[in-house]
Amino acid sequence: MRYLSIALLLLTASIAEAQQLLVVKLSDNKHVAFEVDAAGGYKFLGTYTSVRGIGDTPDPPQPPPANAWSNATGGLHVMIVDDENLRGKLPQSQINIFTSTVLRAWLDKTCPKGKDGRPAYRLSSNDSLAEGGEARKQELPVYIQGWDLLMKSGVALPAWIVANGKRTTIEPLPNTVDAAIARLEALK
Amino acid sequence: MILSLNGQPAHQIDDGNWRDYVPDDDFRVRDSEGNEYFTGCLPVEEWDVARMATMPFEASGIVLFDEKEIGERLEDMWAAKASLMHLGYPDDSLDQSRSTCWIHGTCGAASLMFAQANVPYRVPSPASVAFHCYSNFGVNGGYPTLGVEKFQQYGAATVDLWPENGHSKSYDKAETRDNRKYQWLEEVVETGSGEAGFWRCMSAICQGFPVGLSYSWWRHYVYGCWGRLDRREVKIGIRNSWGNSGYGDKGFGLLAGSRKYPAWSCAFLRMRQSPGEL
Repeated sequence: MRYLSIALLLLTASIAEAQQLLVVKLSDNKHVAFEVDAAGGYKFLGTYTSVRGIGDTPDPPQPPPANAWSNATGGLHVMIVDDENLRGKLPQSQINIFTSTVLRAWLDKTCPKGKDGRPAYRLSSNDSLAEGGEARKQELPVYIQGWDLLMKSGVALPAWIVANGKRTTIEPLPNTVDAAIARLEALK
Repeated sequence: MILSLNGQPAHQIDDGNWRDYVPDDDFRVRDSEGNEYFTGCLPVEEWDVARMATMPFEASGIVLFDEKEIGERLEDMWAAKASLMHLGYPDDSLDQSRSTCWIHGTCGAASLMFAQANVPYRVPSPASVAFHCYSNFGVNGGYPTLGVEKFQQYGAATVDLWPENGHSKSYDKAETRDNRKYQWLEEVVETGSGEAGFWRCMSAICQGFPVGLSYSWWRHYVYGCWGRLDRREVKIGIRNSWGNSGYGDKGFGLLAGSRKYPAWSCAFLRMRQSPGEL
């Protein structure tokens, strides 16, 4: 973890007896914390700012190896990942990508069917396939691999991972539906 | 004039015609052709809001957009065929047969959230949630916050195993108890009432989140998922639970004027699709 967050560490210690500490990320260095009680009620604890250590600089995202998404075989595979908590900070044209029927129709037509009979694409969130979660146990290995590669790449969300069987691309999500389709045409 | 996806003028309830939709005493609305539809939302004063697990709007990740900006955003979504109405249109409208709007609305919104997450089509059964709310499944009326609470607590079975109006305990069996683990309502945000609630709801819709809407004048609860800017007025698009032919274009319509301001509302942020901790 590149950034120190002293306040959050102290907070965690102070509410050790709470049922759960919920931290919502508002931006790269700002978080909101809640205490969740046994009845599922939320208590707002405060807004915390991460403190960056001197000389602490994040590594730039590294491009993946040529065929990093090795399980994505048989045609175009696409995985789009966003952080729903940050969606409101995006331009509307980019938000539209997550609900676009035009993009979905293109993906339905272009992507091959996976082992589950569904076209080989997913629209996912930044915690949907996290380690230890039940959803991870239910998902096909190819998408778990893709999600892991994207989340470890360091590319800021929203982002996508695209593979055509020969090359894997991880990059920020384009800004519009049209740009997304044009980019996928180039990558397929 | 706003057209719906079927090319016809979008159904609209506003200050000029709302009295045609006011239910009589037993939560029924009868149209001019004698067709009968049920509402079923108890007055807000009778709700137990405190039991529901929701997040305050200010603490959620939903950005409150400027009112002038919202109209532009809605038209942008519509032009890009990226509204939640476009996404939900291929699927049938729910069709409550009793006064169960209070849970039908939330289950309709949940099915739209699954569609957005591009998982296989599934509809959480309102009756499977109502089973945990009232001994008579709330067929004579209920309140939405109880439905939200129990959906968060118990999940919901899908309608292929537990019909949406299957008001019978016989559906509560091992198969549906296992199935309900895969449909959970998780994060819900309080968006409030009146004009302020309306604009929070529209902000949520612009960010791709459906909303639950309760209306005292209508004694009805529906979900909101789209909107349009029409002659400088932002109108909220809803989906009703009166079947494909009972209301609007497959259940989709608009609310305008003072009829659009809810007595209570919430935004649905997240569904969980797999077993987890209660």
